[in-house]
Amino acid sequence: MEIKDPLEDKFNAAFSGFEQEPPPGVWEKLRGQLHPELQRQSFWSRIPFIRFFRNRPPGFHIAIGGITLGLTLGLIYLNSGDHHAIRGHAYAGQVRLKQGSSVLFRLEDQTLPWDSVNPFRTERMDEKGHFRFSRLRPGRYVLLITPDRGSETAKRFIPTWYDRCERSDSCSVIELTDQDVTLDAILLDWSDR
Amino acid sequence: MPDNDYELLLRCLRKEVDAEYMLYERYAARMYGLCLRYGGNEAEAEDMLQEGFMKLFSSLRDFRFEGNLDGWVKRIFVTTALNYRRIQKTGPAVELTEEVESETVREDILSNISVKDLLALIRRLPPGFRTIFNLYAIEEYNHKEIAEMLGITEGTSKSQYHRARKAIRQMINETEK
Repeated sequence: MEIKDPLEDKFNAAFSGFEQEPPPGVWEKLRGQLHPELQRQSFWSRIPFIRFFRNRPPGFHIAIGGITLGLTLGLIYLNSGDHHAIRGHAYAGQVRLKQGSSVLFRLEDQTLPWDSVNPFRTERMDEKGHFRFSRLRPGRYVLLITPDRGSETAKRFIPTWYDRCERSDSCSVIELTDQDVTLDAILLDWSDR
Repeated sequence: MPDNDYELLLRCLRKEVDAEYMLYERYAARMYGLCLRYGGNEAEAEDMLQEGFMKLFSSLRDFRFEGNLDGWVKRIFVTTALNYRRIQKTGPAVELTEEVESETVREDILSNISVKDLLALIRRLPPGFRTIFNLYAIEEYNHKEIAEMLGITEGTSKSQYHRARKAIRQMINETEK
């Protein structure tokens, strides 16, 4: 072993605890080499949405796919074509009908007797006696207003077709075209029969 | 060996990324400092660091847990640096036997040189000189060990070392003139 001179001592002392931070990115490269599988997934695995769906059973994906398709078709349906509303207030005498329902019928075929058509949609009256049928396709409709069975109103008024008709075959047809229809439906009194 | 070191290495053996990162963080700065002494520039040092850590992680199963982890890690990086030089074909190639004349450096000059300047001096040495100077003066291997490590004779190690030391003295004196 040679005797060390001051130069060697200087170097030895200077570098015995010498440290310098490596450039950024070394660990990322190293991790990529140590775990190539993480490197392949690195882009997608950063997205929490993708992580959530990864490794789920096929049934889960089918269910999610079905729901997504349904929602998409629903949105397409709701946003396609012209859709308008039939709305208004129902009155029992001078008072707005609050305990009752409005039933809308769509006339698909004019030759059918109107009594044979099925209710197209039913809406409850709100607390202001208002009804609203939204997102209706253009067409021909008839409307029936009925007070709730057993209510005080039902004791005085009968189910009434718009406009103030006891029977459907004589009621007014609501033509829905390219704009909303607003109307007032008035119930017939028993004494009107 | 401390229990937490033992646990850390076991987790690294299980390929747990966070444990690997902890081991990396523990040694990165120290080993990059070492690689900077052996490499000709930052890019080479970074390559050595990368290779050293790959070697470290792949050799963990060979580590005997009763040994000194710091010393073992350092040996891995020194070996990696030497292999890097061999692959780059810039290692010592010439057998030198002539007597080397000595040159001195004043102590006051020596004491004023910063670590950064010392590093710059080492890196100005030809790769073969640099390697042997690092191994002998800083890593404190003897010439017999260096000869075995590099596959050269002991005489070559000595003569290269003397020439490296002389070159450094000359560089310091030139800077002072």
